[in-house]
Amino acid sequence: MFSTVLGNVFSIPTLMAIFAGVVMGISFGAMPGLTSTMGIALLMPLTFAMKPEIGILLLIGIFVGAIYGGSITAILINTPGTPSAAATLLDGYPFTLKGEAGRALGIATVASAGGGIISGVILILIAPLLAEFALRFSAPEIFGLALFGISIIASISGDSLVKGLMSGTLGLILSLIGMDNITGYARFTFGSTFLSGGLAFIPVLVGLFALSQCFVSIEDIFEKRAEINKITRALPTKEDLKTIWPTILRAGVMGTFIGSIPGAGGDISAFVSYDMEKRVSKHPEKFGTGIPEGVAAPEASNNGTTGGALIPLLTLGIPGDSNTAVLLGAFMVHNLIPGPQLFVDHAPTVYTIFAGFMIANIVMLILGLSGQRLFVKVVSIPKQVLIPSIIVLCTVGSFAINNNFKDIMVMLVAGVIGYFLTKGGFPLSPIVLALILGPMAEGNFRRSLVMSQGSYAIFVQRPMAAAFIAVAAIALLYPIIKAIIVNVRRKEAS
Amino acid sequence: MGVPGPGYFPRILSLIVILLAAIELISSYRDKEEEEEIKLFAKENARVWVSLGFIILYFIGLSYLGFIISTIIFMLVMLMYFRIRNIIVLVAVPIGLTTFLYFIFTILLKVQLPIGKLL
Repeated sequence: MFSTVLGNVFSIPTLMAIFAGVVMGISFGAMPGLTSTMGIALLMPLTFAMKPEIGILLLIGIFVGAIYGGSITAILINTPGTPSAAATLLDGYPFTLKGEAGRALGIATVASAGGGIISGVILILIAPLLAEFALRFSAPEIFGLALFGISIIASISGDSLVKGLMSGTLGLILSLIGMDNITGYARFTFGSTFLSGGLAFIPVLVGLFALSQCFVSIEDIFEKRAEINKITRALPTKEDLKTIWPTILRAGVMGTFIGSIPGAGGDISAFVSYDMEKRVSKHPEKFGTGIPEGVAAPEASNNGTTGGALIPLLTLGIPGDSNTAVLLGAFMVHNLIPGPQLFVDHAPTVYTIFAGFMIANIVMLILGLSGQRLFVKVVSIPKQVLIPSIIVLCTVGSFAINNNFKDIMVMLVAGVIGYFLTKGGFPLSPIVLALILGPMAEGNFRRSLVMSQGSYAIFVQRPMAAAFIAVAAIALLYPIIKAIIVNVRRKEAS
Repeated sequence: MGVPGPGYFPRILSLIVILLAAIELISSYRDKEEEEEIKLFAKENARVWVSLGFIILYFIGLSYLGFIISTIIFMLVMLMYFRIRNIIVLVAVPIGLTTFLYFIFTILLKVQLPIGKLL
């Protein structure tokens, strides 16, 4: 198998796909308003005609590149290109103010690649073990897992728990549309044959994450962006490397760990690592003034989440955030169902993806150190040109899946709804996650009850299932519990 | 005990939504100070709705005129609407993007793009 994997990875098409993915990813990540999820969703239709591992590696390249690309604009114009780069500007922008933008970009590049590679190593070590363990899961455990995934993301994303939960439930309801896969009963199809197969996942996704974002951007389309000055060298010095390597190590491991928890993504891990680094530092007061550790910590950490997020995706079939939810959709298009069985049935594909992930990080390192001028040019493309082009891409992508005009309409409706929901403060990631985990949750819930002949005790008697459901319940009740504790303490104090 | 059928999940989910909506309604009624108007039909939004109109026209165009002609027209209209006046951009971007997508999808990936009924 080893030689198959090497042959797969080091073939020209695979390397080209990874390279193209990383280039597009960095560009998407660097442009404020374009997110990594949008990039993966928009370019997924391109991968349909490719071999599965090549197509998926292209998308993973986008994922890896986009998380890194956000740092470019964070450092240069004090605007994070992606939410996960929000912590990078704290120390990155002061570098630019000092006229050392190139230095900060170099540090960010090395830290991102370092964090990514660390997470890749952990992924390769842990995933097979976890997959083997998860092979023992049956219906009740899988239901527990799906519930766990949905509830965690609903409770973490967005400002309001209620709105997060409503988004999650909306996704679950949308996932009901079509033929019930146990009895074959048609639900919510209103007699339409188009809907009997269920909503096509990709048009919904492209609408929610790309088109609705376009509408938001159209609101302030004439706003001028900050000018970007020419950058000089982006190669970090030996002293800088010496200062940041312990930071990269710590933040990379931390990022991988946080990334592997469903619901927590690069934005959270970057702030956690920045904070942690401040605490272990000998000179915490210098953070925020433009020091190498302050750039390296969030960047190593947010790229650490990329490998971390692939762990639950590949081994359990549970996507941890919207990026991996879209990736899960891509796997399914290629008839690969992520989960423990994937490691048994498609081992060469899985290991090709692992190896390709490492290569993507190396490509990112090379591109980041040598291609900064190119990315600065890409970032300066005006929104007025970018937005119409993306709308065309949304349309073509939704059409290309089934050659069906109705899919374009689904994409448009999802886009308008996504725009309304964004305006109302509802997070969109729970919808997508629930849409994809819904059938898994429902199917396994009902299958469990068939197993137990209708007794709900099955969810309590099986320890792993009970544990997952308990964690899900805690995640949902946590804000309420917290409020009660705060209240009690306040009363005691007064 | 009966095993749940296809109506079981939809019923539970609708109950959850009703419950959540009630909670949201009550809490937004209680903290009136935090009230903040969500702008959907203000001046900035007008641009969104006009763009949406162009997008719908583009979709109709796709089914009659096909991908190439509709996309070039749509891009040109949108760029003009977004106040791009540079002739080079107005010519190069619509034709460039259309050619690029045609090349990638039709020639490289052999994926069908919309064909018009009239052409």
